[in-house]
Amino acid sequence: MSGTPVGNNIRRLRFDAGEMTQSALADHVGITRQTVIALEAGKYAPSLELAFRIANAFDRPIGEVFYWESERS
Amino acid sequence: MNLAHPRLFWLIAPLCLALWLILATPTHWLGFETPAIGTALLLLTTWVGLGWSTRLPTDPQSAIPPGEVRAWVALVFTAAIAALLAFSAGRILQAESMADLHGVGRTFAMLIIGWIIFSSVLRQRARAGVQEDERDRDIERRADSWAHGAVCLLVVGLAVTLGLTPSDRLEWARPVVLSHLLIFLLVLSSLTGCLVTLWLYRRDRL
Repeated sequence: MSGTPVGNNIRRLRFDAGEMTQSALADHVGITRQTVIALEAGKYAPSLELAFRIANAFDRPIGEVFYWESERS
Repeated sequence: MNLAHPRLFWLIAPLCLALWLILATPTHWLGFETPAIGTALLLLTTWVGLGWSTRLPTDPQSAIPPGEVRAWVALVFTAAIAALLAFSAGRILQAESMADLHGVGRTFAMLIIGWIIFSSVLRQRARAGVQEDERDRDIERRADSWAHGAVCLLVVGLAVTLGLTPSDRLEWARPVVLSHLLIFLLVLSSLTGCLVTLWLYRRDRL
């Protein structure tokens, strides 16, 4: 099955944030590391609440973290 | 987990022995019923397997989430229960009452109790960190939906079969047989839920 149409910049933002590990991000927002892996791989679309929590973890607006795939193409 | 790992033999061999002891016609060995020994061996093997799986060097990208570990444990025990009922079908069909099947019932109960105790211990020994999040709950919800669909389909299938079959061909359908058949359908729906859970976790990794 193909991934979700909701893309994200989580991997880049983690490295921009001092090479934050997947585990550190997972603990910060209250999810499992495997969910971070699924998010970065584009296999899982987060709920709006989780999307906001992730954006807050990077101190960025939600639109800088998540985007609709068709906007990029 | 690397399937080619040599330790896997030491898991599969006792697992096969445990299943054989559970499914074979009940006998005694050193004063113990062989299904009881098989259940104990199944619990021990599953426990050792989980212990080894956490120590094996694995690709971080393929690490198994706690929800998937619970689904694997559920699959092992549900499959063992389904196999127990399937292999005991001959005895169940010949039984006149539950008293004729006390060996099957006891093994069934031991597997359920073992599963509950095992799952409880597993949760208590869970390592630090988040054990479940919205993705796990979403997977669980979708698996429950599949299991619900499966049980509806199986029960309707049984009802239609019983309803359309002439009564002279339903001599086998004694209460004790029907009760075991309904339990078997429930176990099959649970097995469907486990398989869907594992498939959804695997799909997220591919």
